Amino acid sequence: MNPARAGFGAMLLLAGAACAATDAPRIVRAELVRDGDRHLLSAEVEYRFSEAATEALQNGVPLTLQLNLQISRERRYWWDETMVDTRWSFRLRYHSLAKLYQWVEDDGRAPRGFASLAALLEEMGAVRRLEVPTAAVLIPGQTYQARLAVSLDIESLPLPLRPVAYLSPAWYLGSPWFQWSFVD
Amino acid sequence: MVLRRLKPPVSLTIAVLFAAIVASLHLMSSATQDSSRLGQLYSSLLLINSLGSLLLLGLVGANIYWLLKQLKRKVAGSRCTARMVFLFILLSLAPASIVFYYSMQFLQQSIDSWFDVRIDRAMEDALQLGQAAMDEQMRTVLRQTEQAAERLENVPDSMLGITLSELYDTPQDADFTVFSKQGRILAASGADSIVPDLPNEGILLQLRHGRSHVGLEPAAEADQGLRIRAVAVVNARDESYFLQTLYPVPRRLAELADTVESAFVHYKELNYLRNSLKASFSLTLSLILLLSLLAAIWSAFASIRRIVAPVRRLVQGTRAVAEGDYEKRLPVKSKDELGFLVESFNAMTAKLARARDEAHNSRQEVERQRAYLETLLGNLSSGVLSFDSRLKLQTANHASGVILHADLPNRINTPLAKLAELYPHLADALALVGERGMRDKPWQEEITLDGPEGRQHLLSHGTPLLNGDRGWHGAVVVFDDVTELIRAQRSAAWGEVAQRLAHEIKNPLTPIQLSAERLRHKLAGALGDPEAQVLDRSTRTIVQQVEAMKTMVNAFAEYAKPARMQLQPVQLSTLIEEVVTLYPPKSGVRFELQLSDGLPAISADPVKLRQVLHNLIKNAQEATAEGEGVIQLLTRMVPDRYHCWIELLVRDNGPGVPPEQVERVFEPYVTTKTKGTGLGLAIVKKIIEEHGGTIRHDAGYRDGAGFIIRLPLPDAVATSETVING
Repeated sequence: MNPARAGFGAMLLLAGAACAATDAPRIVRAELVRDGDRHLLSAEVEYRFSEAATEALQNGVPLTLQLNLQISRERRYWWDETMVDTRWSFRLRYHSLAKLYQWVEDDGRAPRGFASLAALLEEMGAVRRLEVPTAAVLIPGQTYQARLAVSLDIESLPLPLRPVAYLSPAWYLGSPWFQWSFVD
Repeated sequence: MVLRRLKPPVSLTIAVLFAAIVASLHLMSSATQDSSRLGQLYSSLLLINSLGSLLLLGLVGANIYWLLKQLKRKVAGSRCTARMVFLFILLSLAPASIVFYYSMQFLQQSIDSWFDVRIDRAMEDALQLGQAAMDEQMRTVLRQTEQAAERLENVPDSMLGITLSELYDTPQDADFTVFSKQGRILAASGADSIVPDLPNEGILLQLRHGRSHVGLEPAAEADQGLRIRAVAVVNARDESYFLQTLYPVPRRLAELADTVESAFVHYKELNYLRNSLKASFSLTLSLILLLSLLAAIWSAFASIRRIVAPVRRLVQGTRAVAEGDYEKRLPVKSKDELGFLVESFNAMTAKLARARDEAHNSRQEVERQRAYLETLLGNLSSGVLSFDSRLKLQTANHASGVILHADLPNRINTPLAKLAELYPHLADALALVGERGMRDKPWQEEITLDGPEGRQHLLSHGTPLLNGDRGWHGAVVVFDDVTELIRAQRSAAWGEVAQRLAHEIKNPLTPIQLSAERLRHKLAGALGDPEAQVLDRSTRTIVQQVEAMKTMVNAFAEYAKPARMQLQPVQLSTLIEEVVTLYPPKSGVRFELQLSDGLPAISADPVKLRQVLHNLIKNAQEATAEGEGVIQLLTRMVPDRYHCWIELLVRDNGPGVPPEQVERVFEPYVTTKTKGTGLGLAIVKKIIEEHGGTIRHDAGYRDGAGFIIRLPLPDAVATSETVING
């Protein structure tokens, strides 16, 4: 493959992000609630996987998704200051022997199994009370901008699949940013 | 342009570039082959190498563009560079393409050979075998759980824990949990009962419909293998709840199942990624080839440019030499054959420059000599002509043209015969020169020719021009117009004669006269009348003749007397008009005057000029018939090459000068008339020449006698005056 085309493809990838919105996840709702010296993130994510991604999953390729939350403060004469930038990673894999779709989280908890992908995605879509360490950063009473997005971590795909994933819109499984502002 | 100006040592650049490329490619190749730590760098490496390729592509493109531009402008060395680059690309591209093609083939085939239908089948079967073994276990656990659930029916809540312990009295790794529909734990027993693991929503939904559930799932801790979750409904009296059994699959079985599962997954993943794998290997290989090729081509450009540089400089140098710049020196930058060539070129141009300088100097010397010769010839009063071997005129100085009355300086390269045609009055003389000129020895001869101003005497010397081997290849003729010299000699002779004669004749005249008078005086009374008459008549005749003779001798003496001039500015036209008024119509001549207005004054002796005019008028008057004489007097200004002259033409309608006398008409006693002293024109000529002017017979005028007098304008007069006085 021509590397010139690869570079060109990388540009296409960025441009194609919006076009591939039909097969991409979408964040329906999100909110941050203060709980003592931390915040809790609740959100509703509508996961939609492209055929290519589903097929790869069924063929034993684990998919890693990342939920990215950024909290920033508006500054009048300067760029917004990013106060918090947190990522949660979780992996999806198919267990052939048990015929289960598994949701593996980073925190060492037991993988959760689901008989169908739809069940898994539904369960995964309901984000409940995720802890955001904000104690030292956010000042109560101030208004902040928060934004949330979910994306597929292409770098954790098997190596041969990465160039294809970078170049093919079918593999762009990122949601657009969901933005909201809140008063702490 | 900027790229060319930034010039680190080429070899260093190439070495660094190659090292970077090889390192990057090696890393990428390693990353492609195994998914170790390098695997994380794969994308970055791919991007870096792609950017590297793009950069190299840009460099190569810029070089090609530069080369094409140079080719179009036909810059020295560009074609050589193009040919070498083309050859190099061809030589590197051909084997690389072949290797690439077969590598790709090999790659495709070897990846395909990993996969086999039988292995596919075996893997599927192994998995199914595992699943069958697990199903057996699961069925057993489910049956046990359902039996236990039946036994738990109608057991009060408080007794649930005890009953549960009783049911499973044999120590097992299994966990038992009884929980309500709302997920509240009613009782738990087992190895890990601190935080019982409840089933998820999907299973609960199934249970609420009254159906039992059994399923295989990985254990909570990764190293604990698999476990079986069985949930059965316990139909209690007032409310039904669920009994869950979490049963770890026996370790050995779990291990085997895990092996089978991971192998199957790995194989399936590999199978699924087969095309991607091929693509990524191909991509890596292509990138390696592309980078290597581009780097090689770029290096080729850099090295070829270095190799061709001396050739280009040589070509530029040669062009400069061709355009005459012999000062061009090329820098010697290498010690190889090309360096030797450049050194030789420098030596050659140095020699050329030296030779050019010498040639230039000698040419200048020749030019100087030529100019010197030309000046010499130009200012020579002698005429000089030279002819080449085919008797074509090669040299003709100004004097030759003036003497021969022919525009010879502008007839260079004209053959002698053609010159004779162009100037008929020179025909005889040129024929003689031609004949004499062919001789191998010098010659000398007096040539006479009839020019437009009368007969001319030329004293000519001829010298043959001989080449290196003494062969004749031309001639030089030098001639002097000795007409004036001969005339002057004749005049001088006449002057001498006149003075002698005057002296010798005048001396005895007075005694003769006195003697005659005395004779008459003494004998007048002694003789008779008739004798006295004879005596008186004779002595009177003697006295008269002696007087006449005295007059003649005086005139002669006047002619021979050295000049005494009283120069002053004279308006010639005014003078002429004054003189003409002295000849009234009854004197027998009529004047036609054509006097130019505004002629400058000349410096002359007016008395002598009057004499000139009187002599000429008298000459004409005597030559023409009584009462029919017409005398034309014309004045005009005539510019010459060096001077300006005032020309006076005097013409009559008489019989003209007989041809045999034309040459000697200005000599004393040359006359056709019976009257006069025969000195008129001789005196005129003498006076005119004393004024620095010339007089000649107007040969072109056929209706009578005509004379042309030229008098110089003051600056020229001043010169001639000094000559005369000196």
